[in-house]
Amino acid sequence: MTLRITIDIFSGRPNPVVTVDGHEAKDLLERLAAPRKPAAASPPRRPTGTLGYRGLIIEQVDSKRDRKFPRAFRVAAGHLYGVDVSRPVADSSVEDFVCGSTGPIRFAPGGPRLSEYCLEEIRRFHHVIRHYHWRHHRHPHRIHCHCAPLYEPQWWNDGGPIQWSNNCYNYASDYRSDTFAQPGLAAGAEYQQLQCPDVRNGAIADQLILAPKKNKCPKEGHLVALVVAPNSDFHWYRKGRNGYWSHKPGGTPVTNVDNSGNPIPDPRTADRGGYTDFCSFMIVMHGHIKLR
Amino acid sequence: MAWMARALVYSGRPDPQWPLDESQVHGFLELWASLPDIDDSLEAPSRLGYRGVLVTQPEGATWLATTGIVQHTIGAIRTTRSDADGRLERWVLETADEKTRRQMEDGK
Repeated sequence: MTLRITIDIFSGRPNPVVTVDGHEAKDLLERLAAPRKPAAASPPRRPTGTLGYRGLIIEQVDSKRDRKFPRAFRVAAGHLYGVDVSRPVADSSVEDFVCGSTGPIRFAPGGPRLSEYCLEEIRRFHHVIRHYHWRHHRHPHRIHCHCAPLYEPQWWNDGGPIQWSNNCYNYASDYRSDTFAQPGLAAGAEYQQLQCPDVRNGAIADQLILAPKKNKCPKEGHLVALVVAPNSDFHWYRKGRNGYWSHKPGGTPVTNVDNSGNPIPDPRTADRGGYTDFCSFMIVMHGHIKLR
Repeated sequence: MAWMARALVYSGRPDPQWPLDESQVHGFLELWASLPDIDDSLEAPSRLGYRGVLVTQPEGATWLATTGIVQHTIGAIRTTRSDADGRLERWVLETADEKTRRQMEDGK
């Protein structure tokens, strides 16, 4: 029996992956078995995407499977999550074992430093899971911008042609063109440089209007904001009826949170990743613009 | 129409896309077949910066590979498999030519 263990810890770099077999695999599965006495407490909320350690992904990769376990499952904060199963494990410190000096992590490149980092991250993760009450960020309902488009992400996020063929500019302008619209293209004045002035001028050619430097709902039309990752890309946000901002990163779904998972009261202060330059607020007058 | 691979890198500019030739399609499908099924659903991460790869078949089926999971969608039917070490995602990215890879590096 062979187990492939992925330590789900990194975001950009590939995660460390090790395999164990024979008695080491058997020992690990014993640690992951259901405890003899069922736990009284309810399981921690299944971990969702966060930065840093997020659990162990364990796969039974050969034909000699232990049928008491799913073929692939996640272990996090002393719990096992898999197909139709969510339960504690017999050894609640199995993750410390895996990342400890005698555990399977010793086979991963990275040596003692990786082990130390992993153990530190496990402690942080366990603390967060147990003590942080995950908040569900409700989209505030009070209407601030009466002329702003409706926030209806499900319309854009169809997983098909609407989602994949419309970008941030389409969404911010509330204009579906299915062309991954480029500022200025419809007017024969497409931007040439990926810098604020050029992209902004392209949008002006498309009939967007430069707005005062304030995050305020216009009396007519709706407010959008342009940012750029210099020499790389541009991105747009739009202000909604409740005064908060939403956006659509390229062909991926519309969202109302920033790169840190926080709501966006002002794109100037949002986590924008590499899109470091805030360019302008602009106004979109409905029916006046044409994008391509 | 060809099979296409797309690196989900940009927000405004079109993402880098490139066609897959017959042997690459064959290799991709073999790799997909080797991945274990998991009970999970996947939506492309909505954040700025690199978010994964999308492979599209001419008939419309898609494979989205990101964050250790690959989801195959054909119509309303979705199949999800574990790509825990990112093998399939990396394999797709490596089919891009040098110019496309440089473009992807700029966007990452």
